[in-house]
Amino acid sequence: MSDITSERLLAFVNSEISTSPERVELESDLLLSGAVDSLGVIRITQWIEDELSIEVSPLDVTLENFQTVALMLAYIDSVSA
Amino acid sequence: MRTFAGGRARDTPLLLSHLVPQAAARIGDRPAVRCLADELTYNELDQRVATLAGALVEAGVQSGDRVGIHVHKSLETMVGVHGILRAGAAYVPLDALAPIEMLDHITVDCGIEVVVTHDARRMSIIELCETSDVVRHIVGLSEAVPGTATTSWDQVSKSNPIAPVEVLSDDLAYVMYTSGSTGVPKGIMHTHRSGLRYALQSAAIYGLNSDDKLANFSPLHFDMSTFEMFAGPSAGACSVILTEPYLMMPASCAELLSRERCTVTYTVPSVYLQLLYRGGLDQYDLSSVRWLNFGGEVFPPAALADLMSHFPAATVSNVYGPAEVNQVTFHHITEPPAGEHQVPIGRACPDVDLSIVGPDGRRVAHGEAGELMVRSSTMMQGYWNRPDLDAAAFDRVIAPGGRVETWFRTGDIVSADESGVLTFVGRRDHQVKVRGHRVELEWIESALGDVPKVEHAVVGVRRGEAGSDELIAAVVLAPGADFDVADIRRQLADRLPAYAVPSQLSLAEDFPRTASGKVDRRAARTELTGRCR
Repeated sequence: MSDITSERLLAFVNSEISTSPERVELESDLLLSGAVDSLGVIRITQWIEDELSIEVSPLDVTLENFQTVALMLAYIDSVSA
Repeated sequence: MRTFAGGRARDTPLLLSHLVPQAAARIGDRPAVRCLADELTYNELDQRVATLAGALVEAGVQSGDRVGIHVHKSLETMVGVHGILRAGAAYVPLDALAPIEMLDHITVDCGIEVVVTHDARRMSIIELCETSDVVRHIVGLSEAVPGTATTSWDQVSKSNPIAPVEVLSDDLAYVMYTSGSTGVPKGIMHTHRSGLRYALQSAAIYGLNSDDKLANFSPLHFDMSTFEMFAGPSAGACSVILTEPYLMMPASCAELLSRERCTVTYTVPSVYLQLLYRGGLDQYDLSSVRWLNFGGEVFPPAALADLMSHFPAATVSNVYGPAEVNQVTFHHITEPPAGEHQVPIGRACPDVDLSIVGPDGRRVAHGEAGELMVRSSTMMQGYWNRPDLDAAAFDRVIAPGGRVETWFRTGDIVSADESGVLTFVGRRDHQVKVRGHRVELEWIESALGDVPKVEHAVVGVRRGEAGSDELIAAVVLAPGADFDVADIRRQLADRLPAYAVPSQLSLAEDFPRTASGKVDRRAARTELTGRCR
């Protein structure tokens, strides 16, 4: 995973998605902290599809792949390999 | 000295707090609530409810007090609600994801001195205790909050279990806060009687029984939660709690519904649409679901037809009723809706009187649209400490013989067909529904206007890609200010719950103006929604 993707995704989540006063980091739990709601999850998957040209199967949008930005990056890595 | 007629082992519940002990006496070994790997039988739930009530009484809670409940969806949701009721108090949901400013307002407005919580909410409880002047005791944290009395769940389990403190059925059972047009949330007061009438009525309509597993979608501050909290225990059904992370991940949620063999689902269309579009429903066996209930919004008919194909054994029920009156109408369908005909909101429930009136307050002619007025035993007592809102919401009519009938003005415009089946037409005001939450556009515009760099703001609604409505906003900035979307969003999040923060913010040079130079909101909203469609 390139550092550039990591930075871009974090920047997108922090500026466009998160409503949490604390900055979202790689390992922040996005779902229980309230930083991201269900619409936010959809917008993140759309961002991954549009910006990284990766097709995200709805079945892949699970807790295992999307609970943190680090998990999202690992998922992006696994499907772009 | 107040005394009440005794008798604990009643067959018919008189209070919401009777539901759990009565179910325990009938079917104590059956599951009452499940949350992922955890489960409580009715006997175990009864025991935990009894000790929590004991701990609350030891903490000084008295009949009629309002006790806050601030938890993520968990076993403690069910234990907390019934424990507070058993102590004779009324519960007040404090949304786990709402900004502290809003929670502080509610604790002060409602005089909440005691809050039930758990360790997952420790940080926001600390923040709330620092802000709030009224909260004096926290129940459910392992470590004490400085300056506030604290009881841990471990200490709760060692408290003296108590039987339900007897109050009257017309006494307060819960207060649910919802958005007001000025940004000040208003508290909807329900009594044991109105809550219990709703629970027993919906248990009867849907034939709930002890083999049912109710998928628990709604957070406590959302009025739909009373279905799983009360209708479930009244029938000895099991409530399957879907935690927040599952609700955000449709594929994980669909897998859980299937794995748990849920039999009844009840939520807003936007949640079903996410399951339909992103849940991979064709991968899962959902034949256990016998009732697929929705409410709060109109369900796009084509999407509903698609959804029904994944639930082969389910009858669909459109459930209608503002939080102020609980459920008052329903309409069942077993065949998918044809074409673009929306599912009606249907006919009145038993013990409900409906009337459709025009702007002049008179009943409209048959087939014409008008505002729906409701009179029912499931109706709220009023808004907490807001006689001005009560006066606007209730219409007291002198019926023949001098009897006073109290009608609730729903603000919903409906029409009836020849057979008396009602269809939702629209709203009397600018209230919209976003993922089932009531939102007044003026409320968000006012919150945006409070952001220092924003001079004017206009908020509208558009149909999002996920099929449900989304809020969008345009702002005119003060001269020289930067358009920093992230900063504006964060400032809004301090003032509004997450669902009310617009998903898209755009910059406008100026808005259309009226002849007197004021922002023409109607024209500006039309322009905004046209541009973002």
